[in-house]
Amino acid sequence: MLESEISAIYLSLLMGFLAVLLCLVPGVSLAWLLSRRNFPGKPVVETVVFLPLVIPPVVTGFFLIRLFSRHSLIGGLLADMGIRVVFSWAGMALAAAVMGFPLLVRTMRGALENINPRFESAARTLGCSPLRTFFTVTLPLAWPGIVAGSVLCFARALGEFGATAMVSSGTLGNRTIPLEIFHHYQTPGHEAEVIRLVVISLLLSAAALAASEMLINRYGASRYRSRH
Amino acid sequence: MVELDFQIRQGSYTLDARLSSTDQVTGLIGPSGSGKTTLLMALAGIIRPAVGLIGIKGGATFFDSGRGINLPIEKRRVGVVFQDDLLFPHLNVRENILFGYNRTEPGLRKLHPQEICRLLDLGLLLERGTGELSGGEARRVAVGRALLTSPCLLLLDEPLTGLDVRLRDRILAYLLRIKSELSIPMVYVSHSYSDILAIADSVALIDVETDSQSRKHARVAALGHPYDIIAEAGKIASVGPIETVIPGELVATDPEADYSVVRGEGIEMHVSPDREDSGKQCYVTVRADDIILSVGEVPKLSSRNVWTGKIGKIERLKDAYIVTLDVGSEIRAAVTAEAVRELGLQPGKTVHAIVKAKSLRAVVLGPDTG
Repeated sequence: MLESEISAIYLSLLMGFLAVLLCLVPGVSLAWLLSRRNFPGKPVVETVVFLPLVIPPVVTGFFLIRLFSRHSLIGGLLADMGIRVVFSWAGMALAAAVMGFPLLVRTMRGALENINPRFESAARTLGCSPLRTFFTVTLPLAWPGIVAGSVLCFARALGEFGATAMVSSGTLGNRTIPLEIFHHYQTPGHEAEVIRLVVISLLLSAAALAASEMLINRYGASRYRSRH
Repeated sequence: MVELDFQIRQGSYTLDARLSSTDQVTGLIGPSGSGKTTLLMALAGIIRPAVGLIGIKGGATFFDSGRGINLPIEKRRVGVVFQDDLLFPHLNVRENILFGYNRTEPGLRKLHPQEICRLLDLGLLLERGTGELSGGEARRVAVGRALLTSPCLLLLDEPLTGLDVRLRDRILAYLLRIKSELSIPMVYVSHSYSDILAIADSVALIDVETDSQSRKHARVAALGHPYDIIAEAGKIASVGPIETVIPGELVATDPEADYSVVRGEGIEMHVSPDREDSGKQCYVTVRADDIILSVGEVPKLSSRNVWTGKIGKIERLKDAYIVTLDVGSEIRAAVTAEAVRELGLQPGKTVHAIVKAKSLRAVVLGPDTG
């Protein structure tokens, strides 16, 4: 395997993990808020969060560049702190996270909505504060949804092309698997590399799915199943 | 032991609850949808009233809109046994019953796992998952879980609903044991008069009226001695399944017999199963659906109770006719429109009421029966 391919696999996995890491806490919080509370502007929040699912990823990438370029307010502030977002792996992780976020929130929201809120009331009558109720009852019951949402987010980040391509510098070490595939695809005589990366990509996605199934079975549904 | 005076508004539904009871167990009856559960949820703090006051008589104030008090659920120390148990599916029985115990300040723990497990026979269930419990077992676990927070008030929302007759009597026996051994005040919601008679010291009746704009107004219509309130509730046809309650005394029977006899005013009732507490005062409950009416000669029947009397009145309900007849005591039977026509039922006519001993439930009075 070429050095560039190993670097692409490494970068893709890193992007996947970083995206989940970035999304997890805000994602669970937002999913909980959307499933349990009504607040003014809720439809707007829902739309903005789910937007990346429907607009072309390249457009999302464009917005990210505009938002984080050195000439923008946020990008300028970050640049002053020495953080470069656009054309760096930080920007790629951010792009992956933005693309994966709606999938994570959607899945977790569904899982939270499936939990009878009266379990939470019951926990409160047993002496739990709202926060404690969330950690001892809501979160464990939503576990399969949290795992599933994280895996979807991870897989999306792993395979994200459009938005990532916009913020990536495209140079060696700045290409994830899909970018690497595209790079080789454009170069005549690199069919073998393309096929190799395609297979690796498939294997990684399948492994992520299998891992999620395992986690869900281990900590989720099976504990609720009766032995009768 | 509860004191409340509050109003809840939910859309077109209003509940005005005013209730003050010093008894250990306060029963709560009323038509379905009248707001019995809503009242319990307000006591627990799960539903917040629009205005009013909720508290324990001579104790904590949970809610007082005038003074801006609204104690959060977890600070009220009110135990709730929900209608559907709500045992946590991700925890086993032991973890469930210890859930509240572990979150109760050690200084406030008056009841301990060992004692509760003995009281409710939970010992053999501890390692089981909640999905592996029968209806009666799950209910006992739910009661134990609530008790282990050492609550200052225990709310029971139809704790015998969804259980078959034999299980009902068993769970009721457990609840009576709790009542006599632990002095925890309880509010007990039920639509079965026999449960209420067995366990409650006083009963509140919630009645609901629908006005011309189809807005529902519910209120506590009466509060008093269980038998009086149930007699009152009997006049409101929409309260629960229609039951007649007849007071009487258990009479000694042949020790071989598998039934007991209860003698009421002008009526003798054969009740199954056999009870050994002869001489005791009791109430017999009979459901209107369990009574068969017959006219003319009565052939030989396997049913142990055949009472003869005159029809007082016939009322039409949504899906049945309710015939009130005087067979020494007044009882109510439910019949179809066809039966009214074919038997020529009308006020003043003499009919026989036939009931199996198995359909009658005798409830012995007093908290000292546990």
